[in-house]
Amino acid sequence: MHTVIDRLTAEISEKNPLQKVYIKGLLENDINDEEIQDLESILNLLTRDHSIEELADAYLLLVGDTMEETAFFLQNGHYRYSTLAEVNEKVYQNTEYMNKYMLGLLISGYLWKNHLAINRWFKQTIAKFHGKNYLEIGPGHGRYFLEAINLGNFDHYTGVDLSPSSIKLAESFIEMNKTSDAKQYELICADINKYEFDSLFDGVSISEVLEHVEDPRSLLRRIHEITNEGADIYVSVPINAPEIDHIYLFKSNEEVFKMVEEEHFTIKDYFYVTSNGASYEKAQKKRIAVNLAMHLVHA
Amino acid sequence: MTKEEVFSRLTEVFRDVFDDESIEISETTTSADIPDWDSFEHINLILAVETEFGVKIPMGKAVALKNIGELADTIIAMA
Repeated sequence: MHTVIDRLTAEISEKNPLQKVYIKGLLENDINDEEIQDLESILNLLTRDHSIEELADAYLLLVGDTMEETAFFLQNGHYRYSTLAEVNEKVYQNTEYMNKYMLGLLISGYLWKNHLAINRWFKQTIAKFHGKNYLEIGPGHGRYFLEAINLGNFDHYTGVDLSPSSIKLAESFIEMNKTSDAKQYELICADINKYEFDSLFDGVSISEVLEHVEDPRSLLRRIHEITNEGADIYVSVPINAPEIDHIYLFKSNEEVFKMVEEEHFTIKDYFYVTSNGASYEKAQKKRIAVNLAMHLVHA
Repeated sequence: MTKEEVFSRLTEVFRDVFDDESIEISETTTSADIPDWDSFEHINLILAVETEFGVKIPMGKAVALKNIGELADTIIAMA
């Protein structure tokens, strides 16, 4: 009997021979049974509203756009856009594109080895966070926010995202997947820099957001402002990783370490993975993408 | 440009991109036959092909190529 994963990967492989070889290796060697079950559940939910062909096309749109942006980056040494106004006009205001992009990202969380590795590190790190109030900045499709809610280490969970379509997707994803005894949560469509919170946070997650803003330092300062001393913060950023809506180019792990320490966070732990398994040195030399995740503490 | 000429120049492009002088290619060679041929190197390969042959291959078309024979046909059609 064919699973939804089989049907999806067959559709992807038919349209993209490179992905055929890559996915075959991933399914045989890299993804574990728990992740297969998670992906199967997610795909079963998604196929209520989308055909397999639509899901494959959403994933391949992300793959194709990533390759286009990588080609641009390798030729020019910078990302295509550098201001929020540009990506707002070209990407965020395009609801149809954004919906496909979010679906593609959700699927890539299981089909890209670097995403799988970072997701595993997120899970083990976030399990160590405890306290009263938890905040996720930019929950996107809601997968990480759901993970935190289901762990239940906090009394209250808040998610803040600028994008109405992300809030809608995250809400339906969480409602369909949360455990029966899940704690109270709220999703707010707002600008994190302007929203007035009632209390400070003891735990924060901000995953793949800093590269979407023009001034990541000011966002780090905002996180410092709205967290208690000693608060645990999970931050992940891509290095040399062009995507259509990435505007701030981080060039090395060391640059990120310096930035967070200058903004008064202590690095308790960190993890990184290169996009194709190359060494960090080779990735830096050839400008291959690196995903960096950190466990920071409000110093 | 004959197919033989294209293959001769393509062989040099492959050897340069993958930094391997022993690489031999044919019509039926695919990414499964060259260990380092992943998405990132595919981009480098297409950029190198574009420079070598003076063509512009859209990434959407580049990812759908089934083998080097199709790449050679694309180059001939565009050159």
